[in-house]
Amino acid sequence: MTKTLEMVFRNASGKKVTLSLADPKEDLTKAQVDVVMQEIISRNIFTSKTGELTQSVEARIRTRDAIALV
Amino acid sequence: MAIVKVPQSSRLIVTVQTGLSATGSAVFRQRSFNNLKPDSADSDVHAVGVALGGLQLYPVEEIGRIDDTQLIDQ
Repeated sequence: MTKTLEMVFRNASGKKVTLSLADPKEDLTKAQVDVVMQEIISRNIFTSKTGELTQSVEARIRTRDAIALV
Repeated sequence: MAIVKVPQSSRLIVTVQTGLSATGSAVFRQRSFNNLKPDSADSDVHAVGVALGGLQLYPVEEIGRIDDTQLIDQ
């Protein structure tokens, strides 16, 4: 089972932009992720095809299960 | 004739140690974040790398950036 943290931002033209991070900590809280997302926005180091990241939208953990057939 | 270095794209790379191999040497994985602004300050990039690393299950080994540039003859 693989887990990926997805941080969803909105950019300058209103589109959603997702930053993904593989293998997040097990017990992450929304508060912890919010701090990092705010840091990303205030440092303003990332861009996207349609503009800079301007606000955070949501954070979620995506879990992927692959079961090998035998 | 002058050669000018023109930034193309940059990436933030957070390297984490995911464990040990069968022979006991450390195994590293890179977490790569595209669309880094080429003109972003190293201090800002490092701070974000540390913050992102703090969300990782695995310990951070190093934080770096890759700047892709083109050399143009002007």
